[in-house]
Amino acid sequence: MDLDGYDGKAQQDGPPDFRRIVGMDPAADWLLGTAAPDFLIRGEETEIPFLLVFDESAAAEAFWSLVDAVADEARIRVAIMSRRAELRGSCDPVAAVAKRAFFERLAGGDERFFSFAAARKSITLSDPAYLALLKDGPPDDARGGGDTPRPERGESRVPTRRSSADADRQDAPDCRVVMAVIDDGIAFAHARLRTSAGTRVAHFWNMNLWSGFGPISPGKISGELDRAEIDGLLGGSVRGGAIDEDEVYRKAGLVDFRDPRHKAAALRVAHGAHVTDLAAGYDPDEEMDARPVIAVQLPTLAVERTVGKLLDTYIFLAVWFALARAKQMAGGGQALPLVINTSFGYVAGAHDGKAPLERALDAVIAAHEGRVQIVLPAGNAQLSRCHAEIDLTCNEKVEFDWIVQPDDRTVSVVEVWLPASEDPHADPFERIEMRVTQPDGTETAIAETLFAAKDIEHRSRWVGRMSLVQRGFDGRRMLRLQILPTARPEPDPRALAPAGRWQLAFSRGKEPLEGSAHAWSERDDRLYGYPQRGRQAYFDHATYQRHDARGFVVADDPAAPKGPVRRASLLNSFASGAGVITAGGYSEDDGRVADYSAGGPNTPAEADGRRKPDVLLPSDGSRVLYGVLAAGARSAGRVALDGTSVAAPQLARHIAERLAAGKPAHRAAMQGVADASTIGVIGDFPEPPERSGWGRLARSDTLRSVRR
Amino acid sequence: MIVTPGHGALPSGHATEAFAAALVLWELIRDRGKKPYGDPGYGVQLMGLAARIAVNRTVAGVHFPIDTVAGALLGLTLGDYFVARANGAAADRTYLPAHFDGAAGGIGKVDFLAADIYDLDLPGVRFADPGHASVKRFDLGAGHAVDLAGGIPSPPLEWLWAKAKAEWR
Repeated sequence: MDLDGYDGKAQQDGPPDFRRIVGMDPAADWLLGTAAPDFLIRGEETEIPFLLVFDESAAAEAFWSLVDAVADEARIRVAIMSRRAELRGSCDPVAAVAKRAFFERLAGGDERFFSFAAARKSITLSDPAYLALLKDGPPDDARGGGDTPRPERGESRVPTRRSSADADRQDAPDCRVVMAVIDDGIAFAHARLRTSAGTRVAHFWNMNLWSGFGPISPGKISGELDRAEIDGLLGGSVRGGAIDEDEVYRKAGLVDFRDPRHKAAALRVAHGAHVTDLAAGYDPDEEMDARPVIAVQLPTLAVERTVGKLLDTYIFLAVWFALARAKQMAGGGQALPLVINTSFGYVAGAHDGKAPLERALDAVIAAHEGRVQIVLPAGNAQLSRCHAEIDLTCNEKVEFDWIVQPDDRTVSVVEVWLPASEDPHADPFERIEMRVTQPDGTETAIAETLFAAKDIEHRSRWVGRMSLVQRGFDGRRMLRLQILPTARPEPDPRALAPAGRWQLAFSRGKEPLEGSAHAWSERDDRLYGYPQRGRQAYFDHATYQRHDARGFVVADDPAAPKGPVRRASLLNSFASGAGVITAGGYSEDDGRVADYSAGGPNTPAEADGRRKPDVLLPSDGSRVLYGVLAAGARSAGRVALDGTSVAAPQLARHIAERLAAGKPAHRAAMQGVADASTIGVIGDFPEPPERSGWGRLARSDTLRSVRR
Repeated sequence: MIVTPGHGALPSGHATEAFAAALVLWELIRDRGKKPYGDPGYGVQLMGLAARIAVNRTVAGVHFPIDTVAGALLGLTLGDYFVARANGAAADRTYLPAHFDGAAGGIGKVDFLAADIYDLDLPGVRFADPGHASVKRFDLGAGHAVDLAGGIPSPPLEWLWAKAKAEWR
């Protein structure tokens, strides 16, 4: 499947302008319009997952009555995936699926749709990719629910234990804290996730095998394995006295070589296996029954596409799944305390804590009064050159370059967020003009006017689009630039955007712009082990020096020269929420903040209150010892992986340990326990608080044994 | 970069060689009877390594899983035959020809799962129970069993086997 752009102009009588739907995904015009032939992999029947966040109760009311009104019309029906009895009528975020026709009606002014289209909300579209896998159905013997585990045979080191119902019910006061890991390549059969009695993984959900749009029911959903089934798989895969983990994953459908997509759990170094170990790994003889694990494997194709925010709905659904199962595991009592870690991130976004996923996660945290905590990484984009500050208060014009790499097989995106005032709805238009010059000198310009949009052409062919997008709930504006891939591996008649140095120029408009605008180039790189598709487009300017005179990497913005391209505010673009706890990384040996560890949202009005990351955790051994050690994809394997991805689960582990001890572990509490004494005193340059947050935490004592 | 081969890919030579070698080595060290080599764990490791070698060819993009199935079947059968000739008379063992039915498990339909092909829990390495759901695709040709007791022993191979066994300390 190739979602990456499409050659052909949006036709006048084609899809409507989706920007007219208040709060619609800024990429909707692209995904549902010009790129629809690629994005809608089953044509008009494609059901697109989306995350919906309400900003006024009227929006929720309008939505639920609309859902009822169109329930019988197959083309425009909405299926709710995160439904629960009490959801209807509440303002809780919703994960759902609908076909394009639904959004067309929303944009097209159908009377029944009007009140919902105009209500304040946010809609984020996600990748319909997971459906692709199900074209031929899951593997015959994939445990998609209901299958009887193979009988145990031979001598087993894994006696099948009590049924899962028994395991979830305990007479003693419950001191369990559930660790939920949402990731890619989770080796759920790993010995570090077992006790001598069997697995600690209470629920594993492989979204790749998920066949349905139905709500997440209390019963099992497709692609889910419960504890008893995992124990059955372990017991049934004992060969010569040892568990053959390859066989377990093959039977579970997690690794299937008939499937051409990437299989993260098949590699020696698997992101999910490493992260899960750091969050909740214990040696089997530690008998850590008090830390059950819920693991969710995200859809592979949505993970692979780092460009665009196409994972949002899946991450939210996985959170929702973890909440539902943690409640179930309490056996009727109060839901077990739950810590959720998802080591994923993007670059482009407003970085003001108000992205739809951020608000959805914050709503979850707020609703559970400290018993649910969500941990995210700060991101590794500090040196990515993907952020530029556009200060037009003291400059007539701000110019910098956008380097679009050759052989980039995915689209590239720039988001330019304009400053928000108290009431962005009342902001004047025409405050700024953006001019894009292609490597060959062709210019395209767009001004800040209502619904402004311009196609970008290269040698008379359409290669991209600039548009003005207005955020639904508060009206904050963003100029968006999206261009086609610069390479296609197969012979392909579709146009290519030119690779090279694109010049971006911003100048003042008729109205004054209060404060700076900020541009981010969206993440578009290759994840470890994945095939090369995207290549990161980045900004460049003569003032940006990557190395100092001694040849050392300059990890923070120097005071001078101060150019537009900045290292600041490259935080993971959904990690700046008020409730989520964000982890940056430092070098364990000398305490230096890792060069890649990003920081800081950038809304001046509330900068300090939402300063991110919150806490730093070890993500490297030293300058020369790369990464931290944790589980490889198979038992007894230990591998090094670095990045804030491995800092976040260590923070999650601390949080779980505090919750188990009955101590508060919300964001402010974790800031409080961090060691602040080291801020600003380590390293060659004064360390900006933006990256060191509220201080450092050492690795948990329960991880001491895996030190190198 | 490994170039996609221009010829047919079935069976996988890596799988054939790796499984033949693994089976012969395992039978040899078992026959030697020296502790702790009789432990099935050694067989698991040998076969696991063979499976890894074979599956890596799929990872590299130069084989389909079905090639590995055919290669493993061929390798194990050849290994079995070799052991029967080299040590058959002494161990009073039989050799069972295998039948690979390519039409039953075509490209894209089956994945390679070692436990479908052989069974380490039986004494020595033996083909998995043909009644096993996934192995139905591979008709083992029941009725083709050849009794080798006094059948086709090879004196030079028997000599070689004894020498190799003696070297295993």
